[in-house]
Amino acid sequence: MILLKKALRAMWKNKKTYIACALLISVGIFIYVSMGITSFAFEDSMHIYYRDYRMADVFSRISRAPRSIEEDLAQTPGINTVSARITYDARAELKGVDRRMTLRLMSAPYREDSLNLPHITYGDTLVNDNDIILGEDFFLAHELQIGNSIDIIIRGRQFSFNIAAAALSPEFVYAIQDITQLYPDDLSFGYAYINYDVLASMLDMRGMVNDISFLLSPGYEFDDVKVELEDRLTRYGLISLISRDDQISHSLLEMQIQSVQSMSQSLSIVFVAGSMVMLYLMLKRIIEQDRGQIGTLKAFGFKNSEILLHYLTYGAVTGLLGGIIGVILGYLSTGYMIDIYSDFFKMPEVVSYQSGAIIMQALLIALAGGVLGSFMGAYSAVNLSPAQAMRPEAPKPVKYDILSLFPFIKIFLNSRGFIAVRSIDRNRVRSVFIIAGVMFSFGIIAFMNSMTDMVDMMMIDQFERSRMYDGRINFVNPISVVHAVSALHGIEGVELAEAVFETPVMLINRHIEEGALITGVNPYSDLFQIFDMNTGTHIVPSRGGLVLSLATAENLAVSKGDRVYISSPLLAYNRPIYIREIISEMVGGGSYMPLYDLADFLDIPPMASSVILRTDSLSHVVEYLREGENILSIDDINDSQAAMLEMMATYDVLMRTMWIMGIFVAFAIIYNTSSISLNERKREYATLRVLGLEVGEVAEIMSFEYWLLAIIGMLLGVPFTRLLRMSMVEVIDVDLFAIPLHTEPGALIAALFGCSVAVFISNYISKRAIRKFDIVEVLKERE
Amino acid sequence: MEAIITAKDLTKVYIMGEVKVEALRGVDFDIYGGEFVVILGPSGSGKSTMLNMIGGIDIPTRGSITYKGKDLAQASEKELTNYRRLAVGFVFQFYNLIPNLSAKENIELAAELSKDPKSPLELLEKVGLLERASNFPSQMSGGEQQRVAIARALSKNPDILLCDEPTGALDIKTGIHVLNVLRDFNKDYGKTVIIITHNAGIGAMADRVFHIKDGLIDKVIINDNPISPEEVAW
Repeated sequence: MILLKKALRAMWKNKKTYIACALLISVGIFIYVSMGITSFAFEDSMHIYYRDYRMADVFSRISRAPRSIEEDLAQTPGINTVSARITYDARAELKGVDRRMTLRLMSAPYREDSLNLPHITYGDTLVNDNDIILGEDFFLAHELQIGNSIDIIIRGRQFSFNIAAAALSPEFVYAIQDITQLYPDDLSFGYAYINYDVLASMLDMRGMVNDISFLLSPGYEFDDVKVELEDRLTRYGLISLISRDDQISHSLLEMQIQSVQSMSQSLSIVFVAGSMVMLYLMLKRIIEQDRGQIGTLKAFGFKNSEILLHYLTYGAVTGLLGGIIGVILGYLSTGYMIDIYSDFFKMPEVVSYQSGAIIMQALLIALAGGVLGSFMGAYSAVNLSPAQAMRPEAPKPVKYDILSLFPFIKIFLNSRGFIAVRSIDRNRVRSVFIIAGVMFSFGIIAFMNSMTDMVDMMMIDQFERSRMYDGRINFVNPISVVHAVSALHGIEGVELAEAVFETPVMLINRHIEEGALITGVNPYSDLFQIFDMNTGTHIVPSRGGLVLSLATAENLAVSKGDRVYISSPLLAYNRPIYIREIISEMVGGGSYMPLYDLADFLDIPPMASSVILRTDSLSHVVEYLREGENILSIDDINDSQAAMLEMMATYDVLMRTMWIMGIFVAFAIIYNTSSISLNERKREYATLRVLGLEVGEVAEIMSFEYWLLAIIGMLLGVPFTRLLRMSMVEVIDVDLFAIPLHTEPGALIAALFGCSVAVFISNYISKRAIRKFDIVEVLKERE
Repeated sequence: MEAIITAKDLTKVYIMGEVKVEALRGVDFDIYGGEFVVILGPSGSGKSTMLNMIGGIDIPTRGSITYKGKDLAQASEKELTNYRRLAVGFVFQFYNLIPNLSAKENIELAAELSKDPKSPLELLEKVGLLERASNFPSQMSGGEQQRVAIARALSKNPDILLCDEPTGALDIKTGIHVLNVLRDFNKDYGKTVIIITHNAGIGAMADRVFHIKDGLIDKVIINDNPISPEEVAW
């Protein structure tokens, strides 16, 4: 008990250092708790949501099939439930809204065991034939009320619906129209449920379906049923057959959860390890100062284990303090974190069943980190004999002199420089720790900054290098290129219009199959260019070959010059094609061919599924095409840009928090080690003051030392940032985003600035401490 | 001889928590240029406090202490640093060499501060350690370290050399060697040397011996025939 009092008093005396150490632990624990709870909350909620609302395991699109196909397919081994419906992307109109809007219409589930059930959040269910249930995002984005009306335009016919309810769907946790959209734009895209009979009659599909979902029997995987389902569905014009893993909303949600989880674990470990080293350094110094006391305690008869336990108290208290602060801050911020993610990932409820376990784990990590750090520092104390402990520590033997090994260094330094350089060399653990700390902080700051830069680059990539058009008109059904382009050129204000043809295919390399979307483009287009991030060049697709994204190529295990087979509903048989180029795009990752070449390959006349155009008045074009029967949607490039920016603005807060944490870590490590070092070298500095050196001159030794170490740390920070990006690439699904490994100079400059500020502040505080030294008192102390 | 240090009513009170300790209680003294002074007294008598104030590393609570007419009690931090830099050389009981500098570099460090420094190598030769010039403190014995510390103090060519128990941690033979170096500095260069010590025998080497007791100068003994270090009784 007395020893505990001694430990607490000693800690109180050096409270600033212990608090800084505890805060470093708390940063790690904060990340662990806040990100851990958030990601597990989303994961748990996702599983519960999927289970309760019967999210399908397999999704397929076909041209059309009779409804009775449900019973047929239910006989497939491994299939538990089959749920067929009609799905159709249609244009919607709201009173007072100019914007072109698309609704994914789905026939409402009609059986209790149907799959992908909606969760009604406002209003009631469908009662009348003209009732519609809107996706909640779209409903809220347009500030609609239950009872408002909405018009749906299908093939030039307008149908008016009464909004009966708003709902969430497990298929649209992240609600985007297709992968090219990337960011939810709730004003332009939504989903909706209509009674089957109503939708079927609107589309002339009575008794037919075009969208079938499957729930697998326990123990079955997608691969177990894939071939059988393909066989059965091909005759109905199979367009796509994907597992839940490839479903857009799910894959993005899963990717986000995984990246947050791995970030929470790896970052927190790094922070706790950092504070462990700091505790080790502190305890080592304390032990050196306490040698006499240790000797006395041993002479009294205290056991080694009791003395060790005493010193472990320092680490345990620090660890627990950091743990508690981190847990409180982490727990409090969880709500905020969940709110941020909830803006994009929509579920009926985000619940956490694991917060207790995470908090316990966090506290254990903090405690273990603290105890282990102090153990490393204190272990040597127990091995001393009492007499040995009561004598001052023998000076460390000098094995070599770094300045003799590298005499040229002497040319640039004065005596104070010699002190600094040798101090770096002779306190290697401390030096390496400072270098590692600065490197880590530099990496974090640069990485977080480059994330913001990366978004800017995505914008440049998307909107300047690649998509140079102002708008894109998407057709319900493809039309002839000549017809499409000439029709759009005829609209006033359209300067340039070009056709684009997109078709989903299956790429096959031996036994590997990979779904892909081939885009047929004008190879010499002024409006759309293929930009390869790796080479930084524009790629021109050439005749008789395919330009393939790196992710698809990797999945297919093919390289440039190889041959793959293409399977398409438009082809009677699988046709081979050579891969001309493999490219890396920051966003998307598609496959390209020249438009006319693609038509030749598919043996169809040149068709356009969209037209991209340059115009100074897109609103005029929208107005002109308002009644167009075959117009599915009109994308305004500015809206896409705005949606992307809006999403990133929310993440910006997170990034800035991490940015500040990076500076804090640099400061905590530099300040703490410098305060440890200052204590160790008090006598040396006091002697220099007595010799007649001014405060500034004495402080220069330390400041030179720390700048030198910080510069090394910052230089190492550059490749470390690259390493962070590489690990990020590992975490993020490269099918959707490609992250360039190159870090922009701006991010590096920001990191340089952040670390320099930390070194500067820390040196300033040290200088103040040196000024405050009571020289007489310091010199009285025996080393 | 002209007084280079003059103290009037020199008083120092330390406040240790709730206790006031009067280390010096209004002492008056002069120190002359070129003098060899020994300050003798038991532990806690105030002799270190006196040395610290002469050295400009502590300031009095009351009274004045002047160096060549300039009152150190009223001097700014910068002026005191400058005083220590140019006028005073310190030798400590436990040497206080900078561990990360070799013997020669320790001396050079001090020499860099002076406007009129002495050659570090000459001083090393004078203290008999030329061959140890590149050795670090941890590679030298206590006596060797103390000789380097003296060479370091002398390298600034100060007016006053202040020595706090310079032989306190040394054996007799090394102690005599150290005292010889101090006496030579005093005689050869005409500089003032002030030593504080417990060892009454060293007093016989001095021109004057100040006996300090309970914060007061008990007596001052003028020694007309100082003895050589070899004759000092240990």
